[in-house]
Amino acid sequence: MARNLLSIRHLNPDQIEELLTLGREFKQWVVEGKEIARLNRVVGQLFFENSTRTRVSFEQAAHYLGLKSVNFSTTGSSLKKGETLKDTILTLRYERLNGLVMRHPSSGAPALAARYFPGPVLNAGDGRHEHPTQALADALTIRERKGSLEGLTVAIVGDVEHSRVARSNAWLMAKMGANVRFVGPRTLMPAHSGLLPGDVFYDLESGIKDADVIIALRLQRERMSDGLIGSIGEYARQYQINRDKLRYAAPDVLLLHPGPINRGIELDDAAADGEQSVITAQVENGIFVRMAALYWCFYEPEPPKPAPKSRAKKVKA
Amino acid sequence: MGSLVLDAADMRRTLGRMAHEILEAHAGGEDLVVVGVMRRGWPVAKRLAFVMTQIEGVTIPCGRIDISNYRDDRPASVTDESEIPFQVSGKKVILVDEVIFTGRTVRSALNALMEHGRPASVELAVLIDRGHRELPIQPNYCGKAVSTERGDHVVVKVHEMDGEDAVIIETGVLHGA
Amino acid sequence: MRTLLKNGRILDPSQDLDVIGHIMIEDDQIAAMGPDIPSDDVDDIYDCTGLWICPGLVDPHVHLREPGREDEETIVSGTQAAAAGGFTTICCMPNTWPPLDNPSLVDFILDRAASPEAGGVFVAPVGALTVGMRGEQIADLAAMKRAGIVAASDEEFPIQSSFIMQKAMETCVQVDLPIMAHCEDLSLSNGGAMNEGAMSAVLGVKGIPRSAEEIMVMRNCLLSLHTGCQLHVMRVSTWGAIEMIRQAKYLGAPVTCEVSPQHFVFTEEHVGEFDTHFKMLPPLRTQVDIDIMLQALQEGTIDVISSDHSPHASHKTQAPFEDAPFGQVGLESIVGVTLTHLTHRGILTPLETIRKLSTKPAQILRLDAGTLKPGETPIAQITVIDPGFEWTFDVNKTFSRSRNSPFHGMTLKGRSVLTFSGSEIYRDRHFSDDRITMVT
Repeated sequence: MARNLLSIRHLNPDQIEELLTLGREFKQWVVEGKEIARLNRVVGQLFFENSTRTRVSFEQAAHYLGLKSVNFSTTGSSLKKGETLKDTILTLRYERLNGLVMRHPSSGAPALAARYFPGPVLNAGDGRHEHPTQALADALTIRERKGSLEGLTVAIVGDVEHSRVARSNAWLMAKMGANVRFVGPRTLMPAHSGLLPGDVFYDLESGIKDADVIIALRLQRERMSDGLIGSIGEYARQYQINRDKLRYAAPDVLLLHPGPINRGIELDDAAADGEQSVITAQVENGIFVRMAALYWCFYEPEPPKPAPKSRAKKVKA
Repeated sequence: MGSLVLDAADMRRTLGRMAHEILEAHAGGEDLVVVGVMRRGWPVAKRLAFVMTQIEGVTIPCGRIDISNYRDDRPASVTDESEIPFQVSGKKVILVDEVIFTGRTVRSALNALMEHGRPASVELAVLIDRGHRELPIQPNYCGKAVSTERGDHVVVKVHEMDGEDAVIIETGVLHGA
Repeated sequence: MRTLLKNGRILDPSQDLDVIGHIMIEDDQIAAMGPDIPSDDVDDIYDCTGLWICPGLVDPHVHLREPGREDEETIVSGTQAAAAGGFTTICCMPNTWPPLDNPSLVDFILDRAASPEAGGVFVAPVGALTVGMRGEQIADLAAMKRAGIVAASDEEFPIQSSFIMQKAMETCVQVDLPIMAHCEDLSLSNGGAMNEGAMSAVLGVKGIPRSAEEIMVMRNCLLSLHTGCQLHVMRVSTWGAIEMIRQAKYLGAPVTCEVSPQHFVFTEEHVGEFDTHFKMLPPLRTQVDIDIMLQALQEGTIDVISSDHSPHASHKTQAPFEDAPFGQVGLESIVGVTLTHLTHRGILTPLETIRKLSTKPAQILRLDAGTLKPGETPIAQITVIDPGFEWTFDVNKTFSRSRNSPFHGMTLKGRSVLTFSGSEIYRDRHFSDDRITMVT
């Protein structure tokens, strides 16, 4: 029985724990060069938006799991010829693909795809909605250094309104017991944040005060032409994470960024390359949580539920 | 009593075919306008124009022309019920009548039309061509040609006026017989 | 030919009448009405015991899609759906393709609506306010009025320039036409797909702020006040917009407004997990808006309940939320939904319900409809409603060609069972044969 990974919002803490534990296991095995059972399935990489980073990460994850990954890039395909999403999904279904990894510019598109696709559908980012595997990578990175998410103060800084990374991270951190703060200018904050799990701060200093983790978000340059921020320089002066600003946070703060970084805007070089920065670890952990996500989607633990760890070993044997 | 030439479905199909023919000949609906000859040419014209509008996605306007003041066989009437809510000059006019017989009606309609402007061209579309022409006039688009006797009546019924769509030939007695 | 509707509850808001009685239809006219009328020489008797006999319902806001999108709806299927929903008069919106901006198209639509295969209801077209609904040049409203339009509107392409809107209103005063306005500031709604609120923040869907609607309602009300142009605000959705209209009415502006059932039944939370059947324009708002809306319905600030029947092909609704079209079909569910959510909950009396569904829209658009007075309508227009009938709305069993309805599967109480326009144009199978007596 397959399941989907469409959002963090719909997961319960046990499921998140399963995914993170699986991720840690896979990392150990890959690092130690252990052989991992081949899943022998075919996964379609369906990217309606360019994202080399996420796609490469998923392809690497598939490679380690022995999954065959088929690229279905949107340029030159029938999607440009006016085919509806439903028809594309049905086509892939009858091309006998076993699972789909999907990136789409429209919020909720993977959920729609899941209605027409019997195998697992993994959301690799949909509009401004969610980017679950990025949040898992961030959580794994934090847990490796802090042990647990429980009780940590996590500040998500920048363009929260337009960020799927912000939403997925907020849900994940909150569900795992962290205190979430959203920090950014009013024009880049949701007008109504009542249902989102976090407190809103409009100035950086109080927003990151004593924070254990800072997740800086990428600022799209279009926001300036959309009239949402005055100028890039103005934004950087107020919301850039740099050495001066990091002094407000806890001394052992971790600095994360989902990439690609606009150096000199969200982060300065000192912060991005400093000892607090775990940005490269995030990228590497991305592969292992995506392995976990693929594995988790293909193999739902059957009742009585064995620990993901022991199941994984059984397959390995 | 009479024999049925076209029923409502036939009529719809025939008009659909004529609409495609007209659009094909003109490579689209640009500058095309439709003018129906009153009375029964008008509802036929409206349907033809609507089908073309549906096909092309641009409005093919439709007007009506009253020829009672131009006939050579009847006294002129007082009122002119023509209504052409668009410019005729420079347009490609499709003149529509339900039946062509002697050709005299069309001649009158042409005279009447010219008073509304100077069209780029005028073409004739008729639903039924029953022959027996007395003037050198031929339709460019014809729904159905039927052979008739001079004394027969070809009755085109339209639901707007008659409550049903049909074309019927009623066999008549010859005039003077 | 004499038909007697016997022993029903006659609800005629045009005469403030709410009595048990009979109605005699002679040929295609209402001949007599009252608790005690002579009933000799009757051909058919319909026993209406326990049912409401109302003037034929009037929907001022229906999209028939023809010409242009005949796969979604046609004049024939749309009028059949209207007859089945209890309507005898509907206004069709000009956002067809090509747009209804010239007299020839008005003519086409009237002809189609009168064709024998159509549903037998009157179609009153609403013409485009500007050529091509582009908001630039005022359309030939006088010629279209001669051809038969009853109002003018740019529907989903609201005029953004206040100057053009002012000129359009002045033109409409000149030719004596009401303007029906969808109120939306496109620079504020700019690509939004649902209410800007807590739900849109969670779903990551671009929101349409309430101010996008309210600013335009306010502007249009002010222009109406100053030009004297009769303005009908289509489908209001926010409490702010309702307050603006209340204020405009207080100031004496000739303004009326309507609401559609989905806006007093659903909130933004019904969007749930990107359910495109709940994507509306204006978007579904919040419970606060519904509360104010119910109050405004009760006190009369909201004049009309319309279906905003907007058929869409299923391939369009089976799309990602942000790419799906706005709207829903509604002709065949509106009576059930209105009775269930307003009348049976005591928010509107039966007479006020019928006023908002029939008499008031007829008065606003100056249609010969919405009354049972003999001779006031060209032919007898009567709807019989079974107020207590419980049924489940199944959108797959409707006359409309489209299936996009948020009401699908809902249990409703109340349904129109008989529609007369001259003669019987629709009889529901739930109107049992036992109720009909043929006297031969």
